[in-house]
Amino acid sequence: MIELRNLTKRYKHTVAVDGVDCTVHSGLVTGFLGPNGAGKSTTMRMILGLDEPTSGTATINGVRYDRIRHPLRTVGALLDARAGHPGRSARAHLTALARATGLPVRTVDAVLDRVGLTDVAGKRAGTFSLGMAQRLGIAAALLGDPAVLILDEPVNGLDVDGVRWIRALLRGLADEGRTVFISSHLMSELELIADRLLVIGRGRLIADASMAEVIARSGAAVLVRTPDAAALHAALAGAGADVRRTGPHELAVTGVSAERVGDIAHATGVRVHGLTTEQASLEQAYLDLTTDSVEFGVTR
Amino acid sequence: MKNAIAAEWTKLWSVRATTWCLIAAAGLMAAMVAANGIAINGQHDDNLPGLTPTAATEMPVEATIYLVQFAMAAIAALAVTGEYAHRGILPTLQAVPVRWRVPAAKAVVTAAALFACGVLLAAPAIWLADVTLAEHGAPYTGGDVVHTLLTVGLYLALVGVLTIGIATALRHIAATLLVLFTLLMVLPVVMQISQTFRDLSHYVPGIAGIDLMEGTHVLRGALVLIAWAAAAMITGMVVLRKRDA
Repeated sequence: MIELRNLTKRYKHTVAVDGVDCTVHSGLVTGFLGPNGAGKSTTMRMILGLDEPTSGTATINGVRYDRIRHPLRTVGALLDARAGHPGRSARAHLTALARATGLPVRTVDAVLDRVGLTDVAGKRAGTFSLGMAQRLGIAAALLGDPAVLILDEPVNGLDVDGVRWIRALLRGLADEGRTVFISSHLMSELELIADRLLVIGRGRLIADASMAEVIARSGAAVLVRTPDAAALHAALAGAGADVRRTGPHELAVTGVSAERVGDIAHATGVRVHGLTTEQASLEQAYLDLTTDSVEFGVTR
Repeated sequence: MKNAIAAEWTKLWSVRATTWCLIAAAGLMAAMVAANGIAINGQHDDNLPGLTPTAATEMPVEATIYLVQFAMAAIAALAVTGEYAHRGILPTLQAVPVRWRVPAAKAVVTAAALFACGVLLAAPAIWLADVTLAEHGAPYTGGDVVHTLLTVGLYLALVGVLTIGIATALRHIAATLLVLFTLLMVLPVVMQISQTFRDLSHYVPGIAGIDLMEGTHVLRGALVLIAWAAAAMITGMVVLRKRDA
């Protein structure tokens, strides 16, 4: 569990993080969403004790990062995939980290295997593609088998395979009861991974809600294809949803989540051939949330 | 702290720069000692006036002061500035968040490595000086050999710690080497302008090193170097603590 209490970081002329107050719970993947420059990385750096907050506190399981006895065994973090000497091999990089936190060196081979870098373990990290570097960064985060994971833009630079791999990995880690905190500037990315969402803009926390709530609130329609459109229409309307018939076999439902639509269909005994959330309006919802808080926006 | 030291040891030896700097140090030591030995030998053969006899044990000291120490100090400088140049400082501080421990561990590791390498380089250098000076070398004792080996090692170790401190405070390779060159070379030369400054120059690292290694003022030389190294380390630790990573 990560707790941020009135966390603030002020530089000479700007406020990077402005009184952020929230809790990141264990057992969930929490997405940290915001445009570039919104304060995501600064917040994560303060949690990890790399930047000193101007005021407020960030604690992990109630303890400040620099007071944790074995930090890498408690918190695994990836801030910058390219962090580390480019001339050092992946294995040496991880070995140094293992030694720093008193872990046996064999954990290095295990974690290299877990992220699929065994074959290139002896190669210099500087020769890695961005995707491989990202895997090495994730290996470093997983090294100490930590209960808390903090990953800054972990999907950046990964190919389709890599993205699927990391989604499954993060889901698994959260299901094991760990705290998983990941940032992204893309709503579409987090929609598939995150259970909860913290939205930040210009250093301020704009939203702190479950993914389903955010989607419901966004006005994004759930599109459902069904041969029994009329029956489902009635059932959904009865449940208080706003339903439009968009085709002979398609309904657009607003005000409820896709999960709820599926549940209602199941309860009604209606066959469902397709169930999606309207992506365009979901991105729009995110833009609406953050319009006033884009640091380097262009005039639209 | 033990873990931090083990980690820094691994980091030091897992980049090529360390090896290259050691090769450079060995090359510079051999080249300067051999060239000097041959030159002194030739001057004796030509019966140049005003020649004082030189012992083989003095020659590695001279090579260390003029050349070898900079290749060695580069190892220490890169161990710190390489972390900032490549943001390796992020994982390093995540693993060791009690910040003073990072430069402390680097200092321990660098001092140990440079002491050992200093001794290991000085030994064959004495032999090389012997060979090149031939019959014109001044006599020396076994004690002189031990003194040269230990003080060259100690001097390089203390320069290494001084460098770690400066680099931690400045975070940049060029700035670090500039400050270091000023302390080890520029100030000692500039301060020869008057007797007052000459007296004071014994409290500057470069001249203190000569006092230590040439045996003119061993204890004072060692203490001056230790004081500079400690001051640099404390400055580095304070800066590291105050500044965001």
